[in-house]
Amino acid sequence: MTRKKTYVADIDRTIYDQRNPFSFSFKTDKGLTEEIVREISRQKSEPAWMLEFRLKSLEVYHELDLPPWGPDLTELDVENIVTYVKPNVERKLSWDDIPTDIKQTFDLLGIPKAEHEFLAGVGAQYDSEVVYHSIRDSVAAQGVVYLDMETALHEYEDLVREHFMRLVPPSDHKFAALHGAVWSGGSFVYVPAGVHVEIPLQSYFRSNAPGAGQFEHTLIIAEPGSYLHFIEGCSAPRYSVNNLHAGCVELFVREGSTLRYSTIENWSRNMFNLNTKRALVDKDGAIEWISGSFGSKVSMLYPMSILRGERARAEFIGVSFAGAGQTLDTGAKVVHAAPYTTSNINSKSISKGGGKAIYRGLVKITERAKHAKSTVDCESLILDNDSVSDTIPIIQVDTDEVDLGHEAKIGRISEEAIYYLMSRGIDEEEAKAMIVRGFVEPISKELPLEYAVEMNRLVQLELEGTIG
Amino acid sequence: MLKTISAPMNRLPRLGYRWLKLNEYNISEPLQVPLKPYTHAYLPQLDHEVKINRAGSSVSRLKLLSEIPYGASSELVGLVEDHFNAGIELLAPAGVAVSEPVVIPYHLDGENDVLLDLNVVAAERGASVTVVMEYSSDEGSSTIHNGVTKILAEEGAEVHLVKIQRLNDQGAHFDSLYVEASPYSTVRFSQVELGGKFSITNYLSRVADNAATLTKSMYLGDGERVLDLSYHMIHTGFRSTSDLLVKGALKDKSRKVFRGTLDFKRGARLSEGNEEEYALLLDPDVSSSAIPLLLSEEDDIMGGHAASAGKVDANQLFYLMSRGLSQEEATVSLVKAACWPVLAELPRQVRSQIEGELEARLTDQCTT
Repeated sequence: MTRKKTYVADIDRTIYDQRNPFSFSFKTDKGLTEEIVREISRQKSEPAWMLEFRLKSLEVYHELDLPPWGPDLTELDVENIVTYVKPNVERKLSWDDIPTDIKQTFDLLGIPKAEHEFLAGVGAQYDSEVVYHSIRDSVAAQGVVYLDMETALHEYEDLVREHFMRLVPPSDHKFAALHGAVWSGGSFVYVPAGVHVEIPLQSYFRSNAPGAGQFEHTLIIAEPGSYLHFIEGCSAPRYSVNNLHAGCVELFVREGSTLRYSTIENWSRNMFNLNTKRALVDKDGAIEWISGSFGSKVSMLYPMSILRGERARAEFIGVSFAGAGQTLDTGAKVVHAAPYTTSNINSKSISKGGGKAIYRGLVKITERAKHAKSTVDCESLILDNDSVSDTIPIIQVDTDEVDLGHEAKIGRISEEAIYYLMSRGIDEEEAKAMIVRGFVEPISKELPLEYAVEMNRLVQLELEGTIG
Repeated sequence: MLKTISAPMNRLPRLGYRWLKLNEYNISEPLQVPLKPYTHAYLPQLDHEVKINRAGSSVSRLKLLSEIPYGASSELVGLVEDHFNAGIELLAPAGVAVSEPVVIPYHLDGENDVLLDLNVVAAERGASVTVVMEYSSDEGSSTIHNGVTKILAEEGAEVHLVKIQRLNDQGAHFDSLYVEASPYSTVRFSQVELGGKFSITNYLSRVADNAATLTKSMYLGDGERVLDLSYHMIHTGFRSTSDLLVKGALKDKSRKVFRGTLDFKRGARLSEGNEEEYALLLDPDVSSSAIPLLLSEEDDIMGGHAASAGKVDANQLFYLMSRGLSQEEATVSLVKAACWPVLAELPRQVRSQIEGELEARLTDQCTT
């Protein structure tokens, strides 16, 4: 008996694969040496403490081993990665001043248009440096600071020094240490107490150079009672050599403030995406992670929320779509470290064409977290039997006053659901399309409309034959 | 002669973050096991066609069988296979169905303080058998139990294994189980873990076409007991079924790690697996971890897991107390109710014993 399969098209990558000639004003040699780290720091004319920090991180990098768990990283050869590529352009305040090829890339990705229509500010990074950064005057007038990391390091040195890699210390893991040594670019956001930024800020990270690494650092401080929605986008054209992305995101969510952090990640299929994201949430604060993982060859990404204040809250909504040759190892980590904290994790994954989708999560409830509540829901859809889906949740409870639930399901599209929809007069093709769209809906509905459309385009669904 | 137990146990089939220290169980200090005989009688007289012998009296058909690594650790399994001092070889011949359980009582005391039991239970085509293994020890004696039990259910056979562990709180308990469920066979495993200073159990089943392995387990953690319970169901055949239900209560300073893995191999089409774990937390100092893994290489399967942990439901408690039960009586009732799906699987006589013990141990807690 042959079974017809649901056919789900690969993600259309044409616009992301737009490849520009590789030009640069400065790049380091391949590999990682003290000299290279010093050179990066010199290029950026950094304060001495930052150079010291970088060198210390480099030491830590050499001391740490690769994790014995998770996807195979043997193909990743850091010695062959160019850690710093400075594009042929200085940071500009207007898109018109940016060289045509780079501007065209961002145009294709729709960044300037989005900025014009519905963003409060935009940062655009090309390889290792930020090429464009702006913020609406009305938002800046409220005291909101939105800068590229390098500028922030000079203009807000004390704030940066106080927070930089405090949440994710270089000793956290090997790639955090690597990040500490060679970080470049990224965004710095400071939202003053009580300020609600009504429309989102977005930073877009584009990696164009082949065989290079991107190590941007994002630091957001949301002061008490504030609100911010931050969107992060990433993409790169495909090359035959491996690229590495080891960014770091540190979010400080102060008392009573809410931070929504949305990511649409669509790296090319030669990218090792080893990113570290962490949020520290104070009393009555909330962190909301919205995460769509579509690209990269290997992803290891586990946004972590540390709920250290009473009634702090964490939400995680994630969708990952693993196609041929991809291993997407993602999930959410939540540490409940205070009473009455709550967390809600909702993860969906689709694997097809030999792709591997792995959910790897953690809920840790410490002794202090009396009356904590946590709900975890994982659903996986496997579209053929070449693909793999693993669910690896870890639940650790160190107190009795908790309410904890975890549920996971794995399987194929339910025939009953199709039957039901067909009985309501919807044809089979449309029924299947609806079900798969419905499967990813929890995330698309959390995104601003334009991004939801973008995501739906990413998941171009083509279905034929019977589900099977 | 002394042998040492020190290697990591119950390692997860997929490792996770190292800082949690949950990838495996590490014994706090190496355990010295003196190799000595076990002299208590444990072989029952059977008046039916099921054959039973001491371990080692014939060449076990299961010696050939375990082609994949199994058990809490290869060190523990190797120790039993090389130096077992007790155990059974049980054969239910083709077509023989026996409803009366075969009871194997293992008892440890000051003299017989080391039990290394190698048990093999084989049910030929269409046979049906229930085996109850009990592990107990005298109060006050410090004992070591390390056992291996292998089960082979041939086509269409039904095996029900019941393991009841009631060692005193000085005892070390390691138990490794390997189950081979041939097409159309059913292997049920009912586990009751009540005792021991630490209790490390490991269950691995391979489920072939149309076969089923159904496991129900209950535990009680009190004092400073450490429980590390691992279950791994490997679906190798199509339309195979596995079901796992683990329920228990933790009080005092007890710690529990639950590891449950549903593993669908390529070719396990139309298979279904479920695992559910529920922990009742009775005291603030307990620790409860759950790692329910779901691994799949096949699209046409259904897998589900659920885990939850929390206190005894306040509404239920209130209701029972409003009907005149004291708080401790109500708590005992609710724990028993939670464990009922497992208790219901046990032969009647064993069940009332267990209920009595649960009651006594939980009441103890409530008065302090």
